[in-house]
Amino acid sequence: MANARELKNKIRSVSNTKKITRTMEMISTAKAVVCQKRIEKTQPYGDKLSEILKDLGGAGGDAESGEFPLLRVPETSRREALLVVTANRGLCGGYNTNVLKLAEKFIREKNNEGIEVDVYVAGKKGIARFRYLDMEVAGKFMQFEDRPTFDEAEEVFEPVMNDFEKGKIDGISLVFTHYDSSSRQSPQLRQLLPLAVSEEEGGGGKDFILEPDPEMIWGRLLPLSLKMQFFQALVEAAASEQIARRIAMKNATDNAEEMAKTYTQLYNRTRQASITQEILEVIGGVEVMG
Amino acid sequence: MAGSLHCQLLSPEGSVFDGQVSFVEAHALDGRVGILPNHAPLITALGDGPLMLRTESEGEKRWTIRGGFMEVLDNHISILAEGLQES
Repeated sequence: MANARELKNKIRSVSNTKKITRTMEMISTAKAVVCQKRIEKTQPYGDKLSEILKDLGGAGGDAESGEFPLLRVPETSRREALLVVTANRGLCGGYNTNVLKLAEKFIREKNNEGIEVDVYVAGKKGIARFRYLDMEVAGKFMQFEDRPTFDEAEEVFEPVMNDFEKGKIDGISLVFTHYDSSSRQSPQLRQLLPLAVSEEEGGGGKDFILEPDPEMIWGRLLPLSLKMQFFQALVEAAASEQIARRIAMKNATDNAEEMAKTYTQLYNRTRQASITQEILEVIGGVEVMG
Repeated sequence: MAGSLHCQLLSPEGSVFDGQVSFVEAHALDGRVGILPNHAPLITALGDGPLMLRTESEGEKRWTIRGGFMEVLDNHISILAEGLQES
């Protein structure tokens, strides 16, 4: 049985760790609330954008007529881009691993089909993973913390979109942690380009006046909608990260508590045993002398 | 002419204005457009420039917009700005 002093040290270190994890849990809880509010705030814009896209489809804005580089659907694909959204920090359970697993699977599948993948990674954890795998990365970004801004998202996404327009790449996909609700987040793979063609049914069939002309509107609306999707993914990922960390830290705190309890019991038992031992020795001594 | 418009001004990071207005003046790609109540349905791309809302409660409000869209439908105006600044 371990001696009393060792146990005492262990109890102390476990309860110190507990203090830290509990603090981190509380911080993440607070941050998660802020991030969730941001998701709610960005939603109307995204919803409205897709509404306009739909209205536009119904208003005779014939997407296929104009020559839109963004709307092209390549028959064969040789090179695609993948945007991976991970966190800058760890201690958040399986959050990063889950996203990366999905990303690696995607890359493997594409490579098997003979398609090269340009990987753009956001977050230190993802960057470290790809470095470990010794894989070439086309772009690294670390500026996204728990408050990504639209401008930051634009800065990252624009060059990738330009590559698609120029025909350098034939597809853009995105892997991030999708935020369903505060109790449900899951890694998700989403194909941004080429656009999944499903806009046949136009909304309402309203006769919109399109200014200056449908082509111009399509040409501006599409990039905006893509950028918005990327931005929303970042915002969702940020919220998911905080929630994942809160849960991980809550578990750590609970475990620490459990451990401290076990050690305290053990310590008390050892202490009791040594006292009993001492008493027995004293009695034994007295008996010999008497 | 009576009537008013419901106007929503949104930026990617949140709603900026939501309320009743009597007149909207925006900077479209090929010049300014003014929207009064009962306007025909319209979708237009916005350029970089000023936006003015004549609100019923707070007088005229102005912003500077960097790109975006405006949709007018059944006396509802939605303005999606890519970037915007109060001025």
